[in-house]
Amino acid sequence: MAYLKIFLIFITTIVLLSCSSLKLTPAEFSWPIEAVLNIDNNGFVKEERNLVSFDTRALFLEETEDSSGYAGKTLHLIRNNEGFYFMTAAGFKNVYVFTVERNAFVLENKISVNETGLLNPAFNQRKLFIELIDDGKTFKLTSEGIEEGMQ
Amino acid sequence: MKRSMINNILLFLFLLTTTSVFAQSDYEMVQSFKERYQKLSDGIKTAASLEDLDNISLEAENLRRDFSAKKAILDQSLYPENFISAFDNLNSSLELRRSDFTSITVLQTEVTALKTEVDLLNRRNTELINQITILESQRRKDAAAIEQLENLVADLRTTLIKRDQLIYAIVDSLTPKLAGDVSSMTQQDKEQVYSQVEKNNLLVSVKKSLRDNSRFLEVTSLKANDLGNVKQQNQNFVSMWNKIGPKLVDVYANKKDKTEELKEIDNLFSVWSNRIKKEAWESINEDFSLNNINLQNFNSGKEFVDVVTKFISDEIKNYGTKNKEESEKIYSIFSDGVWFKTISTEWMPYLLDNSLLAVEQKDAIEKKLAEWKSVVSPQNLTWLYAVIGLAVVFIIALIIILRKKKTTADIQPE
Repeated sequence: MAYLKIFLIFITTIVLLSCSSLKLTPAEFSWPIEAVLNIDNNGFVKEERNLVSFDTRALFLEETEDSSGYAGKTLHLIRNNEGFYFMTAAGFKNVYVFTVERNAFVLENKISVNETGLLNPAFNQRKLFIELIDDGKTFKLTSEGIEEGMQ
Repeated sequence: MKRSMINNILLFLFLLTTTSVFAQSDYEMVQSFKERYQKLSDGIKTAASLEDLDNISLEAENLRRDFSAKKAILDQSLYPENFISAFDNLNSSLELRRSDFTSITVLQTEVTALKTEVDLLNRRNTELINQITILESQRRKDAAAIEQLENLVADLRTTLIKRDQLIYAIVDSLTPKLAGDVSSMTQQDKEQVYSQVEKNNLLVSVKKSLRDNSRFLEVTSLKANDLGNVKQQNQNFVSMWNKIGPKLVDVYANKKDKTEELKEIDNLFSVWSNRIKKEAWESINEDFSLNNINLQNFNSGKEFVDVVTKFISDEIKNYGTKNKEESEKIYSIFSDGVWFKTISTEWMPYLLDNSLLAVEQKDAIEKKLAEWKSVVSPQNLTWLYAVIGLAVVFIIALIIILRKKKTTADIQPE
């Protein structure tokens, strides 16, 4: 009986391992610097170096409740080492963290950083976090939120 | 102990403050680097001297020093370049541009030497032209003077061509700067061309050359071959001027006195070209004149035909009223001594090739010449009369013989 149990555990382990998806680890996705992107008349941005382009209107609708609020704005975009995309813009109260799905950015987290809105935000790539600086204030951000509070 | 604690707290607060104050966007830092780098790259392209390049080289060193602490992030952000390769490229551009200036300095030295040579030739040409003018007035008096004159003309011709070639060389030194579209040249580029043209007295040299070339034609009488060469020289000069003349008009657009100078050059080209056309007719007239046939002046194909046919008509009309021997002598000199010896063989191809005379006009003169010949030396018809006489005698003899034969035949049957 004991042999039977061991055999069943072995088989189950083999089956489970064969069903799990292939993973290539470790992987590093970070961009060295942020991209500061002008939003075109249709709400689109295009990042030339990494060939990323997408529609920002839903983001502005979420942040400002006005889908046309993108006019004349620039979007700050950076990708951290885990592969999450961080987005924000001047006037935003939040930093948006996205993952990627087929043909879409999917919101992973919305990090509240400034109740009155950011003045002149900029992302910097740091080893273990994304640094957000604005008006002399610095935030250490991860995909889960502010890592070390406001400095 | 307490003081040490206060010091530590103060140090902590200082560090906290400075960290916040000096927090800087990496993106802005990279942009700042790119902007300064681009300015240096542009500066290399627009540098006007080696001194400018030396200043840019210093600026490049400052840039490298200012951003060396950020090398790691710049290495990643300047893709496909990196911090080192960006400065390598900048230094290569600097060296390349430096070599341009070295070439320009050499060219400028050459042009200065050319200018000195042009000045010398200008003086030499003036002396030669003066000597030729004096000798030209003695031409028919002294055979030695004719030889001397011919030598001087050949000498002058050589120096004129040499001077023109020196001007071409000066123009060639400008050509690279004027190669593109002048309207896209910056004001600074235009000022550079202007300063180079002025420094080398280019416009003055071109005007002097054009005047001397016209003057050369005025004081000399050339053969058709020589004139063909002068015409080629004129065309070369015109083509050289066409390359830069219109562009210089743009460069000099804001300098009214210089615009007038350019117009003057255009006029001098017209004078020279007209002088070449006139020279052919004057030299032809000179050929007649040297043989004591004095024709009125003519400056075009039509005038030439009119003057020559009028001269021949007058000679035909006066044949018999003046001494026949003299008339025949004039015909002989005109026809054999000038027309068929010089005009028809030497000048006619030049006149026809350069459309100065039409074939019909040439035929009209030669027809008139044939008419003159028929008057001056009519054909001897004696042999014709003899043949006719013989033919009449033969016919009469034949009639007599035939009649005799018929009479004999009528008598025999009886």
